[in-house]
Amino acid sequence: MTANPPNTAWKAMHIPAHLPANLRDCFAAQQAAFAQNRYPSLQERRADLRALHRLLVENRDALVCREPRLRLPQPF
Amino acid sequence: MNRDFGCRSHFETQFAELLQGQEGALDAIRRLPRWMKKQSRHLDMTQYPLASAFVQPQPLGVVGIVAPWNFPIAMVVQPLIGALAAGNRAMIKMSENSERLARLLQELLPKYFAADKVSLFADSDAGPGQSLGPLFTQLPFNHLFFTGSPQTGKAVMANCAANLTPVTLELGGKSPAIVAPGYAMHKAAERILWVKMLNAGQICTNVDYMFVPAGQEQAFIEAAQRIVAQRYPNLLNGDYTAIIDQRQYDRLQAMLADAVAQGAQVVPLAPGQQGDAARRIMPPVALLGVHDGMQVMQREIFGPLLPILSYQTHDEVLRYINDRPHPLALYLFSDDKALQQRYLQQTLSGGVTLNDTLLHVGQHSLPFGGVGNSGMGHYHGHEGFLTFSKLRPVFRQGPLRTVDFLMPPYRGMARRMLDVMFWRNR
Repeated sequence: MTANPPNTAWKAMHIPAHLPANLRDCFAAQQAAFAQNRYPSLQERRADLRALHRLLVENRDALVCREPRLRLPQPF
Repeated sequence: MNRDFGCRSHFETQFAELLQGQEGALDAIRRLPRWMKKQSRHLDMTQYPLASAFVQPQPLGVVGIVAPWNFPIAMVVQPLIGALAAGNRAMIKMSENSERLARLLQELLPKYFAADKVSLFADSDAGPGQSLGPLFTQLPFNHLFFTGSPQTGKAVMANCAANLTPVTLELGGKSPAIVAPGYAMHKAAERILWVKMLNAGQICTNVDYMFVPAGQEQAFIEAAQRIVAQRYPNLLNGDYTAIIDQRQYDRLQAMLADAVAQGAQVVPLAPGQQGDAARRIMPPVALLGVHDGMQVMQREIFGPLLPILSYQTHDEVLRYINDRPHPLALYLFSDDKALQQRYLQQTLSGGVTLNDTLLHVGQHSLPFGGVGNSGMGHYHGHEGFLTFSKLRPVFRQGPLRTVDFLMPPYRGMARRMLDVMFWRNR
């Protein structure tokens, strides 16, 4: 008896076809990546949280948009 | 962020969004080993000798996060902390009012995450003239986290129902503050005005309206005016945030006009300051003489208008609150522990801060979430981790299987075993 390959087609069928391709592709890619690693280790999760923390720390100025010239409200 | 708002207090962006996010991420990093640990559960050892039972939190898969415009960084980062801590992948949809921030985050995120781990979409990514929101929530996510209005929350939930996608809805509502007799009015005013003017009142857990003891309205207003004058000597200096867009500004102006037309008295809390309509800088005002026929008492205000009601007894305050949908927050100013308990026991809201405002929201050790009309589900800290996890129950059988004694034919030993079990549970 030969083992069947994993059937992932049912998942793709559940993504509504009328949605924009960028959404569908991203969702399918994330699903596929999750299927490869269904239980990330403590180290992996901590690395993700550190990355999120770094994003906030390293981009503080850009996120706030605190250039001196914008300190006062500007005309729209 | 500043460009999305027109004028967003830089201090408030750092304090309420970046700092909260950084703290939340570090808190999760510290506590994650305990959150991930499987939890042993007890078993009846007479029925299941040498067996064991535990709950193992497991990632759900791909989760969706729909962020609002009022705190667009915090409302992305806080649920994302829970989603990543729980081992998920996340797709994020930003508000149409956060277009510039969304574009910035689209540039930044790939430096920190693979696209198949975290991806972010601007509302305009649906194409010209289209909103991505209704399309985004049709994806068959393993969980969808939405922050926004109750009205949009219903549409989101309807979309998710088609896929049986579980939802967490962080909505809003009309959150009351109650100042008890004897509580220092200036202290209550300091704390209420803090949240009422933070982000120009565009906060889902804001004090929407307040109760003061009858005859204390003027004392509150005088204290509030002093506080605003100290904190915001110039509403146009960049410390005070603009109303997010013209539609929201017009909505607030219409609400104010409706209240005036129906007899409300408008009291400026920053007398002498006009604001700036062109920049959508709206000065804070108190409203006296309000009633339920006014829009300002029917809808969530989400801006710097503060209706003030007076009361004679706590019974009437409790009745007023309980006759309306459960608010997202409730604020009581009283040092009387018995009165605090009375409000805690006799009302229901998403959360409570006693003798201050907003601070329950900022605690990573406390769950945050609404109830009824103000939302469902929780996040922040451990509850955020749980929201994005499946709590998977596991039973591990031991070497002796007592269930064997309960197999058919149901006579003899099986019958006697059943009798013993009933006797034990009589």
